[in-house]
Amino acid sequence: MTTVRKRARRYLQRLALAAAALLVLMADGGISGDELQCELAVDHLLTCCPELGTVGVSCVRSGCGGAMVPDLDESRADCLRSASCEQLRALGVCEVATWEPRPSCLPPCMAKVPRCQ
Amino acid sequence: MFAGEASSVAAAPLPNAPVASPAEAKSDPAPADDPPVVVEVQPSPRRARWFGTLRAGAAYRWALRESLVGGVFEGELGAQDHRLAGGVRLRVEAGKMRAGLPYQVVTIGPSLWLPPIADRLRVGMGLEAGAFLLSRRSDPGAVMWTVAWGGRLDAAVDLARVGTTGGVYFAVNVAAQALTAAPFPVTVVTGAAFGYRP
Repeated sequence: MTTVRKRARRYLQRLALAAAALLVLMADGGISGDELQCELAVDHLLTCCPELGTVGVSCVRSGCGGAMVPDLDESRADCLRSASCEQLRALGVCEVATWEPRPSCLPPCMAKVPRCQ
Repeated sequence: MFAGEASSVAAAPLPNAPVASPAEAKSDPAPADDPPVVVEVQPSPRRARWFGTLRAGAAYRWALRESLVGGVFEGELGAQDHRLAGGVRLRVEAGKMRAGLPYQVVTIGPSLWLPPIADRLRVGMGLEAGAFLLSRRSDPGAVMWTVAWGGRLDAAVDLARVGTTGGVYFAVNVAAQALTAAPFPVTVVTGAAFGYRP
């Protein structure tokens, strides 16, 4: 009986350890595709337009069910990344005054993003 | 890669040639003009000693469908006998994605070095788990991160002896890791490094 209890205890300990390890693996923040594309677009933007200094663009996805999404969606981020610095300057991206409100942003919306077509 | 291997020692041509054992000495005394005797010195396989090494080098990584280039620093601590060496390896990699974002990878895991497969050439392997971190450009100081775990293969060739047991060596490696939450779930890394073992 004692042996059976010991075995059961060991089994439960291993199970708890495995569950803890799984929770650690599942609990990481993760890198989502839209966050990555947004960050890469911001990097390209700041490389082409160093006068911007910092951009008021959030690339964070968080909240329950992804309630908070990056200001630059993937298509806009792709567009910005594929444009050369000369093209971005020609589009007026380096001037914050030409930026437009984020399309999916509900009023009152303060977030503005660069135009890209 | 590491010391303590079986070695052949050619005895010097002494006036009285070396003798393998006291028993032989009594039963078969060697004449003074015999050729030098080769004595096989076999260290005890049970004798384990500390094993430690440090490496620094460069790495190319493919992750998140992008190329990343960085520097690597690795340290291993464990035990060795005359054939095997193993222990725990800590690996720190830092660099920059070619597309621009800085990244860091920190892993830890068990490692094992096998007996030599050729003169001065050894291969090893290991498991590793840790974190892959990508710095944000929109929020300096913040990072995105995910868990990374996988395996690796190493090869090392001794370059020069340092002191009585130490040495400098050159090592290459290739590794594959799974990323638990990333746009592409696999990363592959290869690298080259110079190492030192005391």
